[in-house]
This record gives sequence, C-alpha cells and structure tokens, in this order.
Amino acid sequence: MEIPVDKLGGVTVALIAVEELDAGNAGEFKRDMAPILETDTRLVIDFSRLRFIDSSGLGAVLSCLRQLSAKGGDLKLCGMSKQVRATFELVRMHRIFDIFATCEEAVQAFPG
Amino acid sequence: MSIFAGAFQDKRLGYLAAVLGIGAVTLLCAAFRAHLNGMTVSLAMLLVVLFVAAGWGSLPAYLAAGLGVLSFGLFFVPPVFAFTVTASRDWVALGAFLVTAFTAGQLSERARRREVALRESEANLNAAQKIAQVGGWHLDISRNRLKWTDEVFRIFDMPRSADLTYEMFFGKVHPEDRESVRRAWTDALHGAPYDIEYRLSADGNLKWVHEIARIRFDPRGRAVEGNGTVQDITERKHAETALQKSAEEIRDLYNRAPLGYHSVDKNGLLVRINDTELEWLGYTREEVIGTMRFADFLTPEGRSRLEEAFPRFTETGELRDLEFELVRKDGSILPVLLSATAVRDDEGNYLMSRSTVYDITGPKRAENEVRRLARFQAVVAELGEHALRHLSLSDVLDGVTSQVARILNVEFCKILELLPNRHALLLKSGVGWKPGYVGRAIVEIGKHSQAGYTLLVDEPVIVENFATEKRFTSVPLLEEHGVVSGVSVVISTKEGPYGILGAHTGHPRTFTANEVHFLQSVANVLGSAIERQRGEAELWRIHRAQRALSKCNEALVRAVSESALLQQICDIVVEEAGYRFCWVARAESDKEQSVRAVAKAGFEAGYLDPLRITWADTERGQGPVGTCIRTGRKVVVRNIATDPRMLPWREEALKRGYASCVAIPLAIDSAVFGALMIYASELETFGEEEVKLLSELASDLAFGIGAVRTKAAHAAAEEEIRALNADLEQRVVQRTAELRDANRKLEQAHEREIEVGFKIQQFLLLDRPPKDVPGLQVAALTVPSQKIDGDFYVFIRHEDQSLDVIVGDVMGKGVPAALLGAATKSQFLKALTDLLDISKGREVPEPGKIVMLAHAGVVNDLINLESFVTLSYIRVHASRRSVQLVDCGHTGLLHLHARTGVCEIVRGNNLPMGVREGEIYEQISVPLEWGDLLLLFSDGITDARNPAGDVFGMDRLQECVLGNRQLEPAALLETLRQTVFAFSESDRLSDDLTAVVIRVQEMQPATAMAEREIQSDPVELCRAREFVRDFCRGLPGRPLDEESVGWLELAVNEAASNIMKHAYHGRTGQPIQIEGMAFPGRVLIRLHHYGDPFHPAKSPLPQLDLSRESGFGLYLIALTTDDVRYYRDDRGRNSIELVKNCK
Repeated sequence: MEIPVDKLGGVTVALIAVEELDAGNAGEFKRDMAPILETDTRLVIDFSRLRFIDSSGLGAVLSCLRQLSAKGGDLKLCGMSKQVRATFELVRMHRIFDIFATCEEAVQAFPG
Repeated sequence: MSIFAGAFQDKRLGYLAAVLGIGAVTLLCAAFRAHLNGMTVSLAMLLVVLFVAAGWGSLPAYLAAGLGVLSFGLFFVPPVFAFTVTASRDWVALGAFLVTAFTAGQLSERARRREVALRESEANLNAAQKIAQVGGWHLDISRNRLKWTDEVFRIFDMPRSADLTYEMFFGKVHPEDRESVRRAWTDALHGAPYDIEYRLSADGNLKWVHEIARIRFDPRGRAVEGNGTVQDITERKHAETALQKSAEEIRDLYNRAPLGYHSVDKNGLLVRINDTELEWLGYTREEVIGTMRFADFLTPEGRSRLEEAFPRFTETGELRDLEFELVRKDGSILPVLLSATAVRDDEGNYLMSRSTVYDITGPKRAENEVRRLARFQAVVAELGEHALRHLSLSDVLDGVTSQVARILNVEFCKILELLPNRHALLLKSGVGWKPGYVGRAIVEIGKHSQAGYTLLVDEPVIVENFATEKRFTSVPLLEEHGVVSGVSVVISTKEGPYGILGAHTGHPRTFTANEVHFLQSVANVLGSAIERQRGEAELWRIHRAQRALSKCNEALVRAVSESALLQQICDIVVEEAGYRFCWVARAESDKEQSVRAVAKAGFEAGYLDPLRITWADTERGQGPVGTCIRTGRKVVVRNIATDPRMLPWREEALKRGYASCVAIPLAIDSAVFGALMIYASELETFGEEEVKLLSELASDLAFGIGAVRTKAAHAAAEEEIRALNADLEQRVVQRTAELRDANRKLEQAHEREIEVGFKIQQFLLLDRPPKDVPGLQVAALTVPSQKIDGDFYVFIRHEDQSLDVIVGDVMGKGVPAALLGAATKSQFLKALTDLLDISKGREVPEPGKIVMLAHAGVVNDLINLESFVTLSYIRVHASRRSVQLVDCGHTGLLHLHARTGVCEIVRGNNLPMGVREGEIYEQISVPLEWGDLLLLFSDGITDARNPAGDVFGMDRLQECVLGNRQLEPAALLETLRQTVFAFSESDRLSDDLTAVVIRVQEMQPATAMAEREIQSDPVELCRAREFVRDFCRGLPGRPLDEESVGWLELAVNEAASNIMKHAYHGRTGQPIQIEGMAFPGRVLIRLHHYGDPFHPAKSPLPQLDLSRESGFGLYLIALTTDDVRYYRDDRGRNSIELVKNCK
C-alpha cells in the first residue's frame, strides 16, 4: 500500500491513501507503516481519504500507536470522516488517540 | 409665567429696567414737579430701586440707586441741573437708596435661588417617582383641593390638570374596589392607618396600585390635610397571581395524581397525603393528618413488615417497591407498591418521608387470574376424585356447593334438582341459605326464573343485576336472601338434565369467562358423578332383586305350605335383598273388602296394626295396596314423603324409615288374590329393571302358591307334580339366563365408568387450543381409546405472545391415570404461577425451570404410586422465531422445515417425571423459520399396529406430515388420524391418540429480497459491504437512513470477516452466502457458511490497554445491530442473522 509521507516542522505526516481499511488490506497497511514507524517518532496519520474502517483496520492503527509508544514516540490522528470517527467512538478508541480535525492542528499539538 | 421667569433671569434686562425706571420716574416727577415735594420724588425713586432689586438682584439695583441719587440731585434738589450734595440729609438719602438696593437685591436673589432649587428638586422628585413608579399627593381636606405629582397623573393615566378633587380621584378607582377605598378613607379620617391596594380602571388595562397616606389633624381632632403615596404594583400583582396559580397547579398535580402520595414524620404519623390516596382509603384528610400512621392502613402482616423496614428507611433514606395490602375504611383490600425517599434537614436529620403508592390491582388481578385458573383446575380435579371415590351423592353435592362458594367468593351456592314431575326444582344442596330452605325450597321452572331459563336455553346464564334483568324475574328464594347477581349452569346427565348449579351474591358483579367455564366444568363433573351414582345404585338394586329372585327359586322348589312359602319369601326379600320391610297382603272377600297381612318380615314395629287398608274404591283404598289389588297393576311410590297416595299412612311410614315402596299384584290364573308389598329406606328406588325382577319374583311366588295349593288338592297327582317341577326347573334355567343378563348390565356399568374417566379427561386434561396467538396456528387432536388413558395437553399463553404447549402421557390407564394427569397438569400451572410470583410477573419463567418446579411437586406422589409421566414442554415464540423444548422422556418434537422440507425429530435426554428426585431438566433451543411446522404427539400414534403386527412408526408419521404439510394444522391432524386408522384397519385403538400441530406463520411477508455469494477472502469484504449498501439503498422508500446503512455495512463486514477467520480458519475460496430481506420496520441480512459454527458468548468491550489488536468484531456487531442470531439453518448451513430496525 502506498503511504505518502510529508514532513511538517519536524513532524512526519503519513497519509492513508485508500478509501477503505478492512481485513483485506489492514495487513498491508501495517507492513508498509513499519519503516515509517521505525524512523520517525513524531507521527501524524492523515485519515482524510478514508471512508470506511473495520475492526481489523482499527487494530492496525492501534498497533501503530503501540509500536510508537514503546520507543517513546507519539502518534496523532487527523482528518477523519464522520463515519470513521463514529467507528472509533463506538469502541471508545477516541479516548486513547489524540484526534484532530486537520493536519495542521495535529502537527501543532506536538511540543516544540 | 415662563416668559416672565426668563426675563427676570436676564441681568442685562435688569440694568435696562434700572435706567428706564429712573428715567421714567424723573420725567414724570419733572412734569408734575409743581405738585410734588422732594420726599415723594425720592420715594418714587426708591420704588424703582426696590422693583429692580426684587426682579434682578443687587447689581442692577445699585445702578438704579446711583441713577436715582443722581437724578434726584440734578433735577429736584436745588440748585436744579447741578449735582451738589451739600446737606447731610442728601447723603443719608443716597445711603438709604444704596442700602435698600442692596438689601432688596439680596433678598430677591435668595428668593430666586430658592425657587430654582425648589423647581430642581421637584423635577428630581418627579423623575425619581417615575422610576419608582411611586407618585405623591397632597389633599387640603377643608378646601378639598388635591395635588398630584406627575407620576400620579401617569399612574392614573390622566392629563395633567389643575383642579383636582377627591371625587375626580375616586372616579378612577375600579367600581368593584370603590367601596373598600371609601371605607378605608373614612376610617383614615377617624384616625385609622390608610394602607390599601386597589384597582384602577384606567384605559381598559387593569392596574393595581398600593396607596399609603397620613392624615394631619388639628388640635380639635379635625382632619386638616393628607399626604400620600401611590405606587403602581400591577407587575407585582401579576407575578403574585402567576405564583399563586403555579402553586395551585402543583397542589392540583399532587392531589390528583394517579398515584398516592403521602409523607410521614419520624413517628410514622401522616403529615401530608394527597386526594387520590385519601379516596383509595375512604378517609377524609381531617381524619388522618397528625392522628393516624400509615401502618394503621395495613394488614397485621404488612404492619410488621413496615415496622421492620422503617428504621432502615430513616437511615438509608430509600425504600423501594415494598408490596402491601391497604385496608380501606370499608374493610376492603387494595394491593399497592410503596416507594419512599427521606426528606432531611440541613443537619441530615430525618424530617419526613416522601412516599409514593402505586395501585397494583391491575397486575395483581392478572396474576390472580392465572392463580385462580390453577385453583379452578385443582378444585375440579378434587371434586372429580371425590365423585369417583364412592362418596354418597349428598356428600358430593355438599362438597361442590361449599367449594364453589369459596372459590368464586360468593355468599350463595345452590344445586337445584329437577323433580320427577319436571315442573319444579328442589333446593337439593347449598350454602348461604337460611335454615330450613335446603331440602325444602321449590323453584318453579319455566322462563320466569333464572334456573328455569337456564334449563330452557341449556347454557350458562349470567345475571349481573336482577334489578335490570329483562329475561326473567327473580324468584322468592333469591329475593328473600337479597340476591342481586349470579350465574347458573345446567347439570346434565345422559338421561337429561339433573338440575341447576348456581352461584349467587348479594351485590352486582360480573362473572368472567374463566369463572363460568369453571362452574360448567364443575357441573359436568357433577353430572358424571350423578350418572355414575345412579348407575351404581341401580346396579346394586338390580343385584339385590336378583339375589332375592334366586333365593326365591330355591324356596319355591322346597315349599311345603302356603303360609311357610309366603313367610320365606318375605324373609328373603328383607334378609337377602336388604329391603327394609316386606309383607304379603291378601285380599279378603268380606263386606269391607279388607286387606289382611298374611306374612311379613323386616322392620315393622306395629305399622300394619292400624292400617285399615281396603281394596275397595274408597278413600282408604287409594293406597298402593288397595290400588294394586283392585287394578291388578304394580304401584311404585318413589317418594313416600311427597306422594299424595300415601297421605293416610305417610307419617307412620316415614317414622319407620320407609322412603319408597312398591306393590306388586299376586295372581293365579289372572285372578288377583293379594299383593307383595316391599318398602325401601332409600328414595327413588324401584327402577324399571328392579321392579321387573321383583315382579318376576311375585309371579314366581304366586306360581309357587298355586303349586302348593295344587299339591294340597291333588296330593296323588305325582305326574302333574313332576311336570310342575319340570316347569319350575325350566324357570330356574330361565332365571340363570336372566342372571347372566344382569351381569352383562354390570359390565355396561363398568363401561360407564370408563365414560366418566373419559369425561374427566375431556374436562381436566385436554385444553382447547388457542386461536389467536399472533404468528401461530395451533390445532389439537385427541382420539380416546377403549380404555381411558392419562394423555393430556396444556396450552398457556404468555404476555409476550409466546405460547407454551405441554403434551404428556401418564403411565397406566383408567381413572387413576386420568387423575394423576390432572394432578400433574395442576402442578405445572402452580409452578408457573409461583415463578411468576417470584419475578412479580416481570418475566416469563424459562420452561426448564417450570418443569423442575412442577416435577418437585409431583415426583414423590408419582414414585409412591409407582407411576411416571412422560411429556414434552415447548415454548414457541413466533416473532423471535424460536422454540424451546424440555423433553421429559417423551416422543420429542417433530420439526418440519418449511424451506427445505426436511423433517427432524428434536429430542432431549431428560428422564420422565417421577423417576428420580432432583432430576435436572435441560431445555433445548431450536430456531424456527416462517412456515415451519411443529408436531407434538403421543406414542399412541407411532405404536398403533396393523393386523399383521407392524407398528405405524416414525417413518410413516414423518411421511404423513411431509405429504400433507401444505394443509392447515387442523386438516393435517384429521388426515393423520385417518391415516393411522386406515393403517390399523380398525375403528378402535388400544392407546389414546394425541397430537398438537403448530405452524409458525409469516407474520409479514418480506417486501424485498436479494442474494450474493462471496468467497472467503478478505479482499471480498468490500463486495459484502457493497451488497448491503446497494440492497438498502434500493429499497423503496429508503427505510434505513445513511447512518444505519453504514452500521449495517460494518456489522456485515465484521460477521463475514469472522466467518473467514474463525469458521473457515483463513482458508480461502470457501463460499459465504449473503441474503438481504426487508420487512416492514426492519432490514435483515443473513450470512450462511459451511465452516465451523461459532456461538459467541456476549462479548464485553475488549481491553483497550494496547495489548490486543483484535476482538472488536463481535463487539462491533452487537453494538451496531438491533438483533443477532447465530443458528444452523434448515439447509445445514451455519448462519448469522443481523437485524437492523428502521427508526
């Protein structure tokens, strides 16, 4: 899966370039996120293209957070559609992720 | 005024006035110099100075003074036209001028300043009054001059005008308030304080004002003047009214709420109570507040419960749903639920309660109805048992009336027996009637009485109130006891109606269908009992006559003398046959045609001594003996107490315990020579059969007498005697045949007992299938076998529209099995009501629990009686499409899947009831589809045999059900019955045949359907979602909104994903069939697969501690759908059904 990456003031912004993240491509997403997670500790994942996420997709995002936290990094999410956001809220995952409306807000939320 | 005021304020004008004034005076004085002296001129000058000083103050006045002195000096003091001040007098004048000018100027300045200040303060006051909406007034009482401030004008909405009077003010007061205002003013003039509120009728708007006044009195006590304030308080008044209204509303809500409210203090005394609760209790507020405790309205049991709970309540401050029975003032009971919270003061001390009382009569009634049904059932069973336990009929009848009165909670119950003449009914047994009525009171039949009308229409007749009854009138029996309402049913027997069973009460009341049904059931059991008793009594009497006859035969053969023979016969009749008294009457041919006793046996006690019976057609010849001898016909008196023919002898006969009698003529060669008289101590004896046998006996006797006579007359005629003896022997043979005949009758009586058992089964064991359970079609079939069996079935409907069906079979046959069946059935009803009690009717107890509880109640009896019961208990829920089965060693449940046409036997492995104490009964749950068919059946079907000895068996049963599944349940059962009979090639079965069929109907047809198959590959998930999306969006009217569609997509995605992971274990290429169906109000998606089934327990929210990344799936499904079912469908596929309701 192609994951375009952008640098904004010392923060890495990774874009989920597909519209649907489900059991069919969650593995691929995890695999392709791995190098980014290895090199960067300040990461924003941009959800703005995503229209649908299922439990596997949620699991994959959760895995990213776990990996980053393990090495002292930080992950923030942004640009969620209404339905994607609602799915996060359904399993209360909005409580453990920092979710922002836009990339800029997410980037600014990083200290320094 | 204002122009002048302005002019005085301009100083320049003052200087001008000084110049002009002095100039004018100078000119005038010069003109009239001849007539004026210096003094006058100087005074005129001084006047000008004063005028200027008063008008413009000191400075212009100084000018005037200066000019005055100058003019005076120049023109009037000689030398004229020269200003010389020589005389000291002139200096004084000038000084006086200046002092005047100064003083007058200062004074006028001060006055003017004061006026300005006054005017300013007036303006300030007006402004302040306007803001405060307070006006002031002053009234000069003696002159009646009223002064108002601006605000008063505004408040009174009047143009400012000068001449105000008290009357003008009074005219503005609202007409209704004038009187009180006038009175207040009059009082104030006499020294009372004046502080009033009244209304103004200003410009149509109602205004409220508050007025305070103080009156000043002169030393003589006369009112001089008044000062007052007026304030516009309209807004305050409105607020007050609104407040009052809302307080009233709250009070109204409190008082008229459909709940009872009250508060009790720490001693439990009532401090507050609403009207509703007072009305319930029947007390007035005055009677209870501060004097009665809530506990005073409770039953002793409730009181002790409350006393126990109260300390805890004051501590915790909360009391919830305590059930009590309130005792009303009139003594009646009201079931209620009490909840309360405590009201505390700032320190947390208990002040009082705030209690809510719910009337739970409604739920209680429903609960009681079920319980009553169970009691009805139990009572009918008990009565049936009594009736069969060879109790005397009167005991049975008495038992019935007292039980019925108790169960129906009525004061009166009666059994009326139709008298033999069929014109009247006798009060045979009853409770509640005054002494002397039972056994004597007679009710005429015909359509004028309730009883008569009931007989006429032959169905239950209910009277809610005799006062409004149009069909018939009340009868003396009921009127004398103040009966107002009642219900009556016919007690029927095979020989026609026996009479009426009635329940009555002294107040208007209705009788429910269940109550009427109960009464009819009791009457039916009673009818059977009466039939049986009659049959038994008849049988016994036939037996007795039979015995007499057979002994008689012996006596005849051995007879040596006529008198000995007669005595022997009498002895036999009494000793062998057990009649109370027997005698042989011989008709004398004397003048009186008297009757003489030639032999007698039994209890006589001088009865025959004073009889003076004749067979002549006179008064004393109308008795049975006389009539019998005279006419040569039998005379049967079935009741000596009521038969008019027995009148002359009645008293003596009754004294000796004769209740009925028969007179049988004795004749030789058609010549009547006497009569055989037999008396019985029972009523209604001497039935047809008995009398026939006794007639035979009499005829034999007569023959014997003839034989004896012949023997005596022709002692030598051996041949004849032998012939006679042969004839006798012939008769004996004949008797034997008759005996056999009697035995056959005995057998018939046994068959009648079977019929009784059958009736018990009909009334007690077999319910009628319900007709209106939503989504279910139910039919039942029972075919009784030769011998009564203990098959039973029960239908119970629950509030949630589920239906319980029990089909059972008691081991053994006959009446005992039937009674055990009834007992088991009662236990089930009892178990159900007990469990409903425990849950307060909130939930329907599980079948497994009901079975276990019922089993606990019946197991010991069954073990002691060495019997057991097999049964299937099912609960069908159409809208949930499920059936639960508890199979207690029975035949199981035949489940025909509508869609696939597959027949399946669902069986559990529980033991029959009554085998082992403490058996755990497991229930099985089976999903249903619309159109599925359920069959419960007894082994009478599968065990039916054909002449070759083959059994009907399960295969034939399934074949029959499958082949006829398109039929309605009732028709299907009829076909099944015919098939079984055709198979057995007989019209009688050895076992009862019992079956119940239930069809699950489609409650609503699907409005749309679609299908798609995907492969077990995660990349296919998007196709599953697409299917859901397209299906939902394509539905007419879009019943699901976009959000719901989104959630359903997610749920289907998760379900499919789980199937791939857990059912197919990640194997790809396996099929997953997705089915969409729309029904009014909901959309349903089913996913079918052939992988391993997974039945998840309720999934809690997975841990969010980052330790797991999966496990959200099931949780998401549960959250995003309204219903989920995991089941195996009729094609053997494992299925998940997801339901989304439309908003």
